[in-house]
Amino acid sequence: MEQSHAVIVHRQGTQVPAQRMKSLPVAVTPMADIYEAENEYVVRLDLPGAMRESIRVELRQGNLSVIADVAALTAHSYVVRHREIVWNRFVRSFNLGRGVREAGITASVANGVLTVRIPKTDDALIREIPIR
Amino acid sequence: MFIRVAVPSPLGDLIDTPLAGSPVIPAVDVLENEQETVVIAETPGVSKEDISVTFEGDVLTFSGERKAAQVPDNPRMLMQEHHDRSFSRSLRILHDVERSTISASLENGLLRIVLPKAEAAKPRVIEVR
Repeated sequence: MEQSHAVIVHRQGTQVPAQRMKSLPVAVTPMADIYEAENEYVVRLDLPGAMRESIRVELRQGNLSVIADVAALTAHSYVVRHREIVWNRFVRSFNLGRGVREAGITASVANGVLTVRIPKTDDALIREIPIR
Repeated sequence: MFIRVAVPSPLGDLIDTPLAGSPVIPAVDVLENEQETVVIAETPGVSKEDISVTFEGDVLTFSGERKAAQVPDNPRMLMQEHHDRSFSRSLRILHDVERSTISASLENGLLRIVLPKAEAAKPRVIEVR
């Protein structure tokens, strides 16, 4: 009988048995703000320590995912005296739903905060109906 | 152990809600080698102008404010987990510090303070005769 064990697929595609992943901390869910402006939605995510190159913003079947890896500083033979920061991976996904123009989505990062702008389609714009 | 960090208690976390109005306590890492101590703090969304770092006696304090990000008029907040408020944290450094060369930098939302050790605090090899 074949022994079954869960596998976790790494970002690079290598497979690691789940037991070996136990010692690693789980990914951190970054804090988010989302607001709706007149013609776009704006998502802001805290990703302290993530460099621009390590942030991945993915769009798949209406699902927006943000993945960012952060690495602890290890150079200069430092000894860690105290640790509170979780140096691991930020992961968060949002379902965009309808009414967004996926091709127009842009992302930028400043001071460790990622801003994703999601433009609305014309039929999703807020229209005010005058009261007669 | 050359550093003493005041760790927020679980009870403190409960009390430290946005409603309490007290400053946020940023998470810190403290690293040390023979030459210096490095304090790294999470300060996302904070710009350089809004942070102050002081060293008084043997206490290092960094504090500041996360200012509200620019939003258009009348945005509809669909989700709000950030709270733009002040933050502050103090650490007692238990070795002598070369005060004139303390430096601080801000990168990718992390504040990094380097406290060089004073000559007297550096390890010395004693020759056995």
